[in-house]
Amino acid sequence: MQHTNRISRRRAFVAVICVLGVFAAFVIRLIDIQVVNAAQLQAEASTKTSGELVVYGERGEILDANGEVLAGSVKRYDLSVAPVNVNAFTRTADDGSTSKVSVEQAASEIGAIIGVSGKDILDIVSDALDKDGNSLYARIAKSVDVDQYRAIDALDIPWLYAKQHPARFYPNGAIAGNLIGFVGSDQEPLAGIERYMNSCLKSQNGTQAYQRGKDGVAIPGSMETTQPAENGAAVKLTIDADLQWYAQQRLAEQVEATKGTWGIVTVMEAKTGKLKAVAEYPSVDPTDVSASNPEDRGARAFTTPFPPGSTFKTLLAASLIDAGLADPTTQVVADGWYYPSNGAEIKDSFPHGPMNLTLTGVLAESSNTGISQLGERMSAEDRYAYLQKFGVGEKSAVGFPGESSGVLHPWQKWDNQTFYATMFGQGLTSTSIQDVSAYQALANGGVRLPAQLVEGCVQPDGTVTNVPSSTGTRVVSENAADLTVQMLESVPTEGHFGTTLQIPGYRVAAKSGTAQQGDGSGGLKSTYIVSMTGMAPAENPEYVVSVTIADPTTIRSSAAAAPTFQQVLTQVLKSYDVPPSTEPAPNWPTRF
Amino acid sequence: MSTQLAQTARPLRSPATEPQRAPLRAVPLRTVRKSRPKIAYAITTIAAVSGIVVAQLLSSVALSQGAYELSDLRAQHHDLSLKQQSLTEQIEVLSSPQYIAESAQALGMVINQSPVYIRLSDGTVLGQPGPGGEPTERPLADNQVGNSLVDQLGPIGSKKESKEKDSSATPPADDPSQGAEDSSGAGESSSNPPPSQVIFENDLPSPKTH
Repeated sequence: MQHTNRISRRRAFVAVICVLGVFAAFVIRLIDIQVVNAAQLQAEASTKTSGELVVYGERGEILDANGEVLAGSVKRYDLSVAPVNVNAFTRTADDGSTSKVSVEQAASEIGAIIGVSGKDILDIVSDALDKDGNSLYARIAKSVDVDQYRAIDALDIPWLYAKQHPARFYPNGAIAGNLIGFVGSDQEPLAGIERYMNSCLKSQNGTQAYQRGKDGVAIPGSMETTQPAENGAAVKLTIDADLQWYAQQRLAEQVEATKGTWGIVTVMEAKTGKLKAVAEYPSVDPTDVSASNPEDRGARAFTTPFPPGSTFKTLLAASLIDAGLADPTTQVVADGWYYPSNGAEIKDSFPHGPMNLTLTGVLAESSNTGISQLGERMSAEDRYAYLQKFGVGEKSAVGFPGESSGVLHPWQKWDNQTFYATMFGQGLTSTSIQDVSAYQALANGGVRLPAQLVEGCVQPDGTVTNVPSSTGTRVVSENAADLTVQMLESVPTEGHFGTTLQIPGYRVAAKSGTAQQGDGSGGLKSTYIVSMTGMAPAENPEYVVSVTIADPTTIRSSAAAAPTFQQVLTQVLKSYDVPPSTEPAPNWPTRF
Repeated sequence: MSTQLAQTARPLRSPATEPQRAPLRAVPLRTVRKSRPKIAYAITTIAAVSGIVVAQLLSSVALSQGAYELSDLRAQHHDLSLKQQSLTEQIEVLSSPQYIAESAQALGMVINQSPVYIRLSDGTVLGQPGPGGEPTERPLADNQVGNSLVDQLGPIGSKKESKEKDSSATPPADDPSQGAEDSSGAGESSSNPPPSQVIFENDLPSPKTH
């Protein structure tokens, strides 16, 4: 009896232990599932039952002054295959009929759409399999466009994948390419407005989460935006794409014809300081950046200063009139050479005997010796102050990436030759934007306005931020500015350019420049940087145009820039419906 | 069971009270019949419950059907928005100045370098008109402003869009002689009707327009 009791008690004990053991095992597993590995398991589960989508925000557009799209955002697709899964498959047509598709057939179908041979695609697959027999990824094509993607999608190939990504689209190619800049393959802004205005343009990607059923269809009502995507804002430029194209086309023709190395055309609205065109040659097509030389991808108009040459005689003439030291009829006898008492040597670009010139005549003939004698009337200090007021030696208000301020040494550091050279645009450098901006002051009654390239950052709700300042500064008196413009009218009518600067019906004011440039080793290059800067209509200037061509060889003087200046200015007057001049020009005498 | 026994046994323990009780008789049939309508309540309830269950089932079927429809429509919307993007891209490339200039030149158009205006207040012609129909300046050279997107379209007139779309939409520039004929024809026909005259009314000249 006692024996049986002990046995049954032991059995009960064992049973209890077993039950407890099993219970403990369950508890441990429970804790393992619910606490220790909870996060991981939940994540694993959610990948099976839910999905997440990246919602791409669109990078903002870059628009011209009329709203024409210069840079936009589009969808592009990268195509890849899982090489290990590349097999023949059965395709079901829309009508329900099925057909067997071989790998070769599928490859040639893909190739026909993306423009490669079927063999190329099979090679990519077999290369990937050679490296790794279980390869799950091999890229077939990068950035195929929407049409190609839709065609690929219709092929219904089970082992072909397309991954969408945003990309940049430049429908106008090289028009304003140097200003717009470009982005890298990862949408990273690399140059120009893309980089400069990135804080306005950039977008923020968002995410969407949803629960899905066995067949991958989202369960209704489960889609929720976990992080909303934000589109970038648009940048509106002051540039007019049509005018920009015309200027680039004409500039390219002329640089090619004169065998120059590069050229710039700048058009500025006289009464606002807005840049309507900043054309360059060679220029970059942002769609195909690698087709252009690295040094041609920036905006030379902002980044490359050069000696302006005789176009700066105009600034000195305006300063002299403003200071009361001269007027359009002030007389000077200009010889071929001038040897001032400080030891400097001044020469004119063409040999001639003594000429009895007025200040107007000095500008019309572009006489270095004449302007040097008249320029002596003003102290170097005052002259330097005027140049500064014209914006020389100071970056423009645009603040373009890599913009140069040019070089204007303080007047105390001018040596004897530089004292005179700065009177006719040598011994200092300026950018094309600075040149056109200085002339804008004369065209606008003596008030220089900040140069503008960007109208502003247009937010999705229509508000415009980053609007640049338009507060001007007076450089010279209105009378001095107007008289200077009137004197410049003698250049197209009585200068060395025949009729090439004239526009029938309009009074044109212009000044040429043929600048010597250093060769980098203390000597002078045999070629020049030639330019033509001017405005129309002279009685009430609306637009300032500047044309610069570097190193022309078939024509070495500023005559190389003259036809382009005339063409672009004509196009400007035509495009903006500027009425022809009605008052006759004052025709200041050039000789006495 | 035991309680039932206890209850049935109970009256036996007090036989003294028995004579006072009415004699037992069968429950009248009517009472039994009266209790029958309670089944109707049950049926109603069950019917209602099953009705709700069925309705819920149907609604969830409909809802999930809607989800498929929604998914289908979304796919359609996606496809259409892709189509729209593709067309927008094409329009933007086709409206680029390079393409328009090339097309215009292929049609024989030239740039007029002499802007001329008529001042309406006194009818004065401002500016100097150039010779009609002739370029007053040298014509544009071939396109110098690169646009690889336009290049992808191929030479003007033979482009891929003529395959894709109505061929009549492309400018008739495939055949240069055709274009020349067209332009000369247009020149003749425009020279036949009398030149439109400026009609002066009340000293304010204005062209007669239709």
